[in-house]
Amino acid sequence: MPLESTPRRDFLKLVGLAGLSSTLVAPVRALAQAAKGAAADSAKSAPAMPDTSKAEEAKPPSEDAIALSMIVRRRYGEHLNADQLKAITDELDFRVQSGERLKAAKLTNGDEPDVTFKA
Amino acid sequence: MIDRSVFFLPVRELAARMKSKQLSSSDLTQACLDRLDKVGRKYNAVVTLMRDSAMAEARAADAEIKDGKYRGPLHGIPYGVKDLLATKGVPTTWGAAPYKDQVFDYDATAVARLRQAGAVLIAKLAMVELAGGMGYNHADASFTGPGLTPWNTQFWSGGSSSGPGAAVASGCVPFAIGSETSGSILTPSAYCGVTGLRPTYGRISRHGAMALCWTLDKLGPMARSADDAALVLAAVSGHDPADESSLDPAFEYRERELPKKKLRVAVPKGCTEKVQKEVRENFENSLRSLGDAVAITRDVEWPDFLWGPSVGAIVGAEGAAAFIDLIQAGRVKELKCPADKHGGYASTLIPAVDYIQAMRLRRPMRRAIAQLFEKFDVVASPGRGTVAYPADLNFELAYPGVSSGPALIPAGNLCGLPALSLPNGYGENGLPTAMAFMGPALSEKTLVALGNLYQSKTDWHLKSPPEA
Repeated sequence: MPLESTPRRDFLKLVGLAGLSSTLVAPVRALAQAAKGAAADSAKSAPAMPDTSKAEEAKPPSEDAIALSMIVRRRYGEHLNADQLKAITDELDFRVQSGERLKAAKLTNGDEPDVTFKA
Repeated sequence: MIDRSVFFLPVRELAARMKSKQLSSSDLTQACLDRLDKVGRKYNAVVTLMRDSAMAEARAADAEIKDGKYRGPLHGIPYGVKDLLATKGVPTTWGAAPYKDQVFDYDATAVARLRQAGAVLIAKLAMVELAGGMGYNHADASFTGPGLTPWNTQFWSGGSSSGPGAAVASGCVPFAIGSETSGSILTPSAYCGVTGLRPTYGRISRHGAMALCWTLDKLGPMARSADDAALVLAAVSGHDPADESSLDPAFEYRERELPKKKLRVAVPKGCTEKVQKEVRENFENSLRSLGDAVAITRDVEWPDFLWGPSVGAIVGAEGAAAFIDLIQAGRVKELKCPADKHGGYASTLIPAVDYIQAMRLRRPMRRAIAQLFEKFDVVASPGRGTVAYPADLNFELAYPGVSSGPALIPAGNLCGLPALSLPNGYGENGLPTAMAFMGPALSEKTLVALGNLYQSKTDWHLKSPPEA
């Protein structure tokens, strides 16, 4: 069955997000999260130093990340396998967390984006 | 027959020999082409050799110099460009299999300006596919193979300007043009032991350069010395009508310059705490070697901003937009690094609000950094916290527990600031380490002067790796 048309429960199993003990997956996720954080620090142009000393026991992906991964599956599932979709879900989880931090940043109404449109 | 030592001479010395006709551009160009073919390929540094056009340009340079029409210090000097710069009629691959047959019908402005200065383009040099925009996490992330540092081929050259780093370090070209979105000049410069200059955003026209991130991409020289990098910057900088973000006035530089006053140098708090031992020691030795020419303040608090999340959202969103056709068609699966085959999909879902929040933060970020530079002329730090990563390991597994400290590279790039990476010794496995200077916008002259001073007191930049 194509990845984009698997039912939600099967999809979650497929990408390893359902029924997995967080104890089992924690070390792998911690390392992955440390690496993801490092990659984001460097914005991927050149890699930042992965600070694995800060790797903590990770939680399963958020509901938001899982929901977003289902959008990815629906749009691009034909190009992806289960391992890739799992990695994408982790990436989405990281991006959701980063986005929350950005949305919480202290900015005033007058703080404009650092790009000025010119007519 | 060109003696090996000539391959490692600085541009200024090569220029003097050419002007006095002790050395011809044709001989040097032929020798560099052969060396790139024989030696450069061992480091996976080469994409395309431009033998015919290079030799024609070299012969033209020799004829002009003979006729007394000397154009300046780059006249007749061979060089290479990262393969994200358009070159008319020659493949421009962006380091990525889906684009390996791509050919443009025009030259990038940087290439055109170097031609105007008389420099001889001999090769398109290797790079990390799409300049790393899809999230690579391994050295083997280019269709030309993993970039390797000439100092020890078990280790990575750094990226994404991998070919320029390795080609300059191994004496295949006297200088090269690289690019940086967030670390892609400074990292390979550090890992290959060359001098890399990331200019202020807008100093060099981006016209004809692959876009990964329109608001962060910068081109810059990688060379043997700060002096050479400045000569190259002077030839390519200045406003270009084809790139609205390009700046005037052009950077002017003729004679080798030293600092005109005692410079105030800030060392950010935490920038050496978790770096490798040799990186720390070499950095301390480097600061000491500057002596009384600088006033150093240690433990300077680095402004606390969301540097990582901001640069991540901006590069992610702009990168996904830049390559949306490739991502939507599923052609990212043709990329080399497994992480690149799926890395773009998550980025397509970055909310516009997150991107705009990150862009809004760039103004207060710039204000905070500008305040810091009211008290200091230069920020000094280790260039990277470690030596080069092993070429066969995912990056996150390379040096567990080691960290660079404050996010200086993302901060410098978000604020569009210039930085200079200088080799400053060796660490594990005989690999080079580096020191980096960063200054306020348009302070390249100060950074180069301090780099010249440092390199007048040390000889790390004159050392060459073992012959392959």
